[in-house]
Amino acid sequence: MIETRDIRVDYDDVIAVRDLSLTIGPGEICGLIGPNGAGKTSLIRVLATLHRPTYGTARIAGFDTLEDVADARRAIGYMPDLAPVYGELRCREFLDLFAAAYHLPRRTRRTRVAEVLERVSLTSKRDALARTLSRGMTQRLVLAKTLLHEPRVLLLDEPASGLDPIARISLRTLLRDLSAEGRTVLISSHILNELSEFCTSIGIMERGRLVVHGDIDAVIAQHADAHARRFELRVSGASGPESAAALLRTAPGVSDVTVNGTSCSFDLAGDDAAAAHLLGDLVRAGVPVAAFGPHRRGVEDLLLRVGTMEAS
Amino acid sequence: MNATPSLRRSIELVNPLWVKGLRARVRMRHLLSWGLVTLTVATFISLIIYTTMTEQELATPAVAAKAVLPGIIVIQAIILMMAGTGAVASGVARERDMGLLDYQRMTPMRPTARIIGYLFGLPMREYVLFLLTLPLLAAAVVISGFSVATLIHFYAIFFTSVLVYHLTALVAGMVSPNPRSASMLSVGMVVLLYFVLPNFSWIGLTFFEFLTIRPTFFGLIQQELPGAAQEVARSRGINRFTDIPFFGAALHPTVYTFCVQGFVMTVMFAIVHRRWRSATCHLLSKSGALLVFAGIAFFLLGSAWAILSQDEACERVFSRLSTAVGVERAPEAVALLLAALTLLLGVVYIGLVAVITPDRTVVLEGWRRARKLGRTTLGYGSDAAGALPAAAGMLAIMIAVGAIVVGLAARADRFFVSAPAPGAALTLVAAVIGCGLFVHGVRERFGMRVFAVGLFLLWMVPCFAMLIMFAAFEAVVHGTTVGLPFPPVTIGLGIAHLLDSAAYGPDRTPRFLPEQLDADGARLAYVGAAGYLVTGLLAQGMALRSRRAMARREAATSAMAVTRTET
Repeated sequence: MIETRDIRVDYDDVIAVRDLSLTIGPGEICGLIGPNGAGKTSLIRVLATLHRPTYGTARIAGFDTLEDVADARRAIGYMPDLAPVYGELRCREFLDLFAAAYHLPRRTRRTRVAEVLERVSLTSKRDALARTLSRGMTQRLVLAKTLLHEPRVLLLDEPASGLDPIARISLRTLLRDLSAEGRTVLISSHILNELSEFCTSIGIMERGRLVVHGDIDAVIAQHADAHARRFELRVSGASGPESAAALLRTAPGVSDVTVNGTSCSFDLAGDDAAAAHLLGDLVRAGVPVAAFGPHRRGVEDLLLRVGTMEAS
Repeated sequence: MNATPSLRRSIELVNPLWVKGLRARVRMRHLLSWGLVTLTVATFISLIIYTTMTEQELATPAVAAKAVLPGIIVIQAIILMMAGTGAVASGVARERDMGLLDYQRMTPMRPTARIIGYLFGLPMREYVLFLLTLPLLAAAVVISGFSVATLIHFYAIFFTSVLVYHLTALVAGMVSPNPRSASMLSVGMVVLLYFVLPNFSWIGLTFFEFLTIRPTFFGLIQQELPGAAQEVARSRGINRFTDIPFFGAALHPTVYTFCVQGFVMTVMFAIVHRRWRSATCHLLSKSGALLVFAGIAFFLLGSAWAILSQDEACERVFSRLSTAVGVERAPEAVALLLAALTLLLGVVYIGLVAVITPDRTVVLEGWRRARKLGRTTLGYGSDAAGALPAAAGMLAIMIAVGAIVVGLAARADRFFVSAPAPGAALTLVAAVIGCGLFVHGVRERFGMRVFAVGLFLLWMVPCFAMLIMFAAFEAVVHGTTVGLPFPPVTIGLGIAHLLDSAAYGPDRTPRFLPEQLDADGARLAYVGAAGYLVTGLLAQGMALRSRRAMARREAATSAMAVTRTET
């Protein structure tokens, strides 16, 4: 669905994207992460046909973004970072404008507008002027506009910024639904740990390069420390976590113990037998263990790890 | 039954951007505020003219109603040409600034549909306000018995003028860095087009005058109005809606207006169309710029040709010149025509060269793309390619226009008895080529910012110094020498020297080089031309070296990248 080959983008003497090749299949949700200035937005703008790369090719749903621009654009739903709207229009008028611009038949336009408003939970604001919406609502309105013409590929630049936790959960559900419908989603976000909950693949950009790309679990596993695994221990009782942490700090093979609410997380050197042995020791020492298991490494950890590797 | 689908299709053909304009700018609260203000002002102006004239028994109701028409037309012009132009420029600039134009770019609407959408959608409120003034206009027409055909004729040209202004504003909005500068640029363009450039019609160059509705208004409407209003038209030198002399023929003013405005609209449309396809491309392609230059040269030459070859046209311009600037003899008119043509075409040349010459970044990108595709040259048509061939083409056209004007003047007995000396002609040609090459070389070598600031300093400082020496010390020779870097001085000396080298009839002994310069005039013309030719070639050398260095650097970078990959 998305395929790039040797994409390069220059701004004066700065190379924003450096010979980047990437393939994202149908139904995939690919999270694009990286520090500011890594080239994420430049890449998304190239894929959205809004910026001509210095060289390289990109295909969206089989259409070349330089040769078959019109067809590629029909297949793309693009949501930019700042998500501007026409403030003087009502929400339904804003969506109706783009429904008409995307040549949706007039008889289905009203229904479609109502559908997308419902999908982003903005039905109650359909008659509100767009300039009166909050930042999060504006984001949702633009997301609704992006979905209007049922694009096969969604390019979302920071769609979750400004969304409240409930709206983020809705967005996550929506993206999963879109993925289940076979649509491809490329999403850049700074809310990294959320990406790991719904992305099927991940790409990490660093100074214009795609340094890591692949299935999210495979990438996390590939970059996890081979000798030390991180575990999470949840205990019951108010003083439980502190006393458990004190015990853990004295246990052999355990390092980097951190307490977070009723949980402790720590690195443990060794295999599963070592983990079983440690659990036994904790129970015997009277620690009220509620849960014990491997700690899932978030995307944030991964970015830090990969970023550090790049820097070194 | 069959009508319904076709009606639906027709409704779907309505441009979404017009609907957006209506919804965003013509809500009831807008109508109540802006609409009431417009109606009040228009009614007041109509009533004060009409009732004063009738109650004071200054005129009959029919004549008084006729006198109301200009007032309503002025209000309509303010609404559509000033407020509407501002709305287009600031509207499109704001959308570009916010990123809303990107949304529109992503839709499958054709660029032409988008341009038409913005052209009529952004000033939708102004069109509605215009409609609100129509009842007053209709009342004035009914009472006065004013010719409806004349009015329709007038409004056809009125609306093409409005389109010219709105397209200009669309270009301003799409190229300016922010809404504020877009608004300033569009106002500046309106002032330039409306108040500055039409003044060239005094020497017969009517091209810019007919971009406005002035000739149509004064020629078509005013002549049907009461005597006092006709005086205004007469004082403007436009008291007849007569045919426009153009080359060897005479065009109906409406045809000429549509030709001139059609040309400008086509150019503006091409610019906006290119910008819709790509936000970062040059405003015009190399060949497009050459065509624009040729088009402007064609229209200017058409007027100059007619003045030099048609007795009536010649008489009309000279009679105007004699009252305007005291020029009584024909050779001075040739000098004025040559100077004006060189000035206008020179300014257009500088503007077009600035637009089509690629910046360093664009050239580097072009080379990178070319290397990646295994090419060793940049295509002539690409934005990254050098603009020297197009610049040379424009200079050739400019020289050809000058040669034709001098040739026509030499052929007609009233101007020269014998043609100017070839040496003097070559001096002028060298000055024009030198200045042209210099301008292009500086633009290509140093980029836009240095080009603008550098040229201002390089040209204006000598010009100011020259003026100070003239005014304070009356040092004409030294002052002119100091002012030579300012192209109008060098080229002006070239023109004067050229015309001084021609022989005139016994009753005509004009002298174009100032008397105070004496024999130094010709020498300064040679020095200026030679100096600019050398400077122009040096600037071209620098630009060429810079171009080659960039190509070499890019080749080396590509080779290093290949080596790294292989390693």
